[in-house]
Amino acid sequence: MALLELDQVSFNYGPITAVRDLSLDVEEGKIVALLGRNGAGKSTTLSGIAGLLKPRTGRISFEGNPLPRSQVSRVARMGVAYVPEGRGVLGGLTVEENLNAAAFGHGLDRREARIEIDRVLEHFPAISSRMNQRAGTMSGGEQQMMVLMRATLTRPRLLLVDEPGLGLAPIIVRAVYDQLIELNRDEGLSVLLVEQYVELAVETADQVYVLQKGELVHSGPCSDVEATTDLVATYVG
Amino acid sequence: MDLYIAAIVSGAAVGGTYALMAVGITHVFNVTRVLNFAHAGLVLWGANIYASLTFEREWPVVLAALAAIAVVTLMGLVSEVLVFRFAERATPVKKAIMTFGLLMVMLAVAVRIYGQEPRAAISLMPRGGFDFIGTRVSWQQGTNLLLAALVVGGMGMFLQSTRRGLLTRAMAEDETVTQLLGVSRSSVARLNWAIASALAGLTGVLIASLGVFFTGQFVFLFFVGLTASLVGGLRSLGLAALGGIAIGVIQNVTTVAWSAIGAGQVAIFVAVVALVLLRRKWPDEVSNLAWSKPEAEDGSRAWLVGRVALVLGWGALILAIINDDIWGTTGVTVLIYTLVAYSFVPLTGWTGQISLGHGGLMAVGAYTLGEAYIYHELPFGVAILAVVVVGAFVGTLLGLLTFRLGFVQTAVVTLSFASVVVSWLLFTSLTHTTAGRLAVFAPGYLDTGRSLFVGIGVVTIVVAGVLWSLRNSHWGTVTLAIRTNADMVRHFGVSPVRARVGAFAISGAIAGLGGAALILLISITGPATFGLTLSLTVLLYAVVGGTESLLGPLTGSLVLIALPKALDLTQSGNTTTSDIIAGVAIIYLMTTRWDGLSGILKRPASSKARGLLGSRGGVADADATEMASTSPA
Repeated sequence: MALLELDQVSFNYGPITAVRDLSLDVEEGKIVALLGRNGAGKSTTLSGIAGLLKPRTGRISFEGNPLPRSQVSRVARMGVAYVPEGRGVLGGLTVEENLNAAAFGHGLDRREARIEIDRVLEHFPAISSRMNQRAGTMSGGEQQMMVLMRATLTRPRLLLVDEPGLGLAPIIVRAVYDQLIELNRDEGLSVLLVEQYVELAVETADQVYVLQKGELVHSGPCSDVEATTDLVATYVG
Repeated sequence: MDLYIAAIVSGAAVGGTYALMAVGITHVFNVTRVLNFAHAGLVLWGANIYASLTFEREWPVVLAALAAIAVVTLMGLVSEVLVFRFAERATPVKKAIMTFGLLMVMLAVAVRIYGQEPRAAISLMPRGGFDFIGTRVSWQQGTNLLLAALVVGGMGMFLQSTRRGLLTRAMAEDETVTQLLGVSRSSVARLNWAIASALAGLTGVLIASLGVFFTGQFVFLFFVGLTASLVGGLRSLGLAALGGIAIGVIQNVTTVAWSAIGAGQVAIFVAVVALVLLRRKWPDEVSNLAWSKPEAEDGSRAWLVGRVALVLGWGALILAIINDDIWGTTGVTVLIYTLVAYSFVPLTGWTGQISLGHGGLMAVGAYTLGEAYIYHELPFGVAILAVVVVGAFVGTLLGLLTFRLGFVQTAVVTLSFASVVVSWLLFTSLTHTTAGRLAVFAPGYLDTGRSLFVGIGVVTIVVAGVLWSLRNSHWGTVTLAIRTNADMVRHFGVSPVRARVGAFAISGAIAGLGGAALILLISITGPATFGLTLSLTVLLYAVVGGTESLLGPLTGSLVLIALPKALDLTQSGNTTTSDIIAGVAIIYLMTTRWDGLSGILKRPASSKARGLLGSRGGVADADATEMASTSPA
């Protein structure tokens, strides 16, 4: 049984269908990339899984149970963390407050939150000196690290990440992906990743799905990076 | 000098309650982005419950205070359910209008139960006081100020040092992201709504403890609280509290320096205008609030039934007036509210502006009629013309003050304008009245209910006709385009300012006519008739009917005034039943559609399209058939 299963799921914005009859699996401990051009429906799919959109048709299951519809905080507490496009930094709060908000949202007390923060700081040591800084004043790369840290603080089973490299310098993008791979390897975190950089995504992922105009046009493993990149590029361009 | 020191000290003490009001309004807005008009209603109920328990039932003061706070907290939680559970995805402005409806229900029910007469309570603190810089401060005043400071400090500690406080700040920062962190929006909103409601209960207890209070006072208190909240940009609790205290001081010091009636209100008005005009940068959450953005709302399937019911309703009202002159008074009241509702069509419906000061514009109309027709003995027709001109002039001034402002700032400035008119302007020598008392008797040909109904009916038809012509003119097209996208229209070289100020001028003229009609109906009155509650009532009735279409005003006033009367629900001389119906209706309408009852009368686009297809369907089908037959196989 896959950790996350989408079965014939469609999402609409009013009368417009953004994603049509999408079926997709994320296996435990795997990194899955969802690729496609702008407007293909990638971000819509992640938003829908996170509970921000209600599916018009189909079924979304997590660990075999249906995910609650339109109940964002419940989905998060079930173990699905979502880093949206644009990062979702609470810019007026300090880094520590951002992290504590995630911990308190999951019902941890201050002591438990401290333990978890210390744990994730091992993956993101550069952030440890920024704990009292307002999150909105950090650089884009630091913000991305902070939101990944915040998302993994509560030990989610699945991480949904929307374009983690958007607006970052290539060297920073590489560092962000290294962190994702490290979290996947060390903590067994499953990841569903939306990305526009095909090559980077294929290098990182175990499995790839390609969307075109809201419909699934290709899915397969990423065993051969070069061949998969070429194949995906024929759809994505 | 001693007088001024005394004024500052006692002003600060009075400002303590303003500060508490401001902190409650700011806190709810911070967390939920809802401008909670119902806060004033909760404070009113806190005061009334406390007064009943101490004065009539002789409960110990502390127990009565705790009971009042508990009941008001419960009321607040119920209102939170109404506003958030039933309209979870409504825009902040829709939610604000729902709280406005709640306020009207709370005020009307309070008037029903407790009446409009001044009430008294046993003071929470013992009599007597202490000297501070040579000024006598009562224990109650000192306590109010101390409690305001403690509340601000306590709220600061809650927000900065507790888990729930952090989640509250996170939710205020970004609701969606915070929910993605596993935080339940409803639990945070409920907790903070409860805190603000408890604060409202406490504010009510403290106001009742200061001395005699009455229902109308609480709308003014809300206005002062909102003004103080703006000092803190509806974000900072500390600055909001300081703003409240500053307003108390300004009010008292002005009263010492200038002994005119309503001098304090004039000072507040000047302070409000200075504040909103001088402050250029407002927090995004304040700037982004707008009365209405056109929504692509389709008509209703019951549009035909609705229109037939409207015609039958007006027909029945006219028949009743023909049969019995007593119904003439009801008919005239319906027409007055229809006229004033029409004044909101260009203002709110066309240009998306708000006014909480139309009671003031009505007063300007009524007193202009008195001045021209009674004092200067001008012919009645000329006096009515003067009403239109003066109403348009004052409307233009208001438009010039507010054309640059956002929703909240315009609400405060217009409410402040109404406050200045009824507290100061009507008492000045400009009106040639004694203590603001106005007596205008209609000319002989308008002195029965029936004849007045016909006279105001003709005026209403003329107003509707003028609005219809304007709507279909070049000006009307540009005005509607401005509401849709002001920036784009600016690129075409059209000035939105002219349209916005023009809408205020037209609105002022029509509201002035409404006020003149009101004084012709009641003949003798005083400034209190045009108090802040009237400003809120006329806006509410207009919104219930709908300001987007010319049928809205005809519908709203008929349903809200004539229908309760026909069903024998109305007590003579008050509009509480209508207010309750209007309040409930607006809460319901905001969960369903934006354009009020007139939306029910709107023909659906699908029905219009069918009509078009019906007339040209044969051609369309023939084209399709031809295309199919010529397509390559």
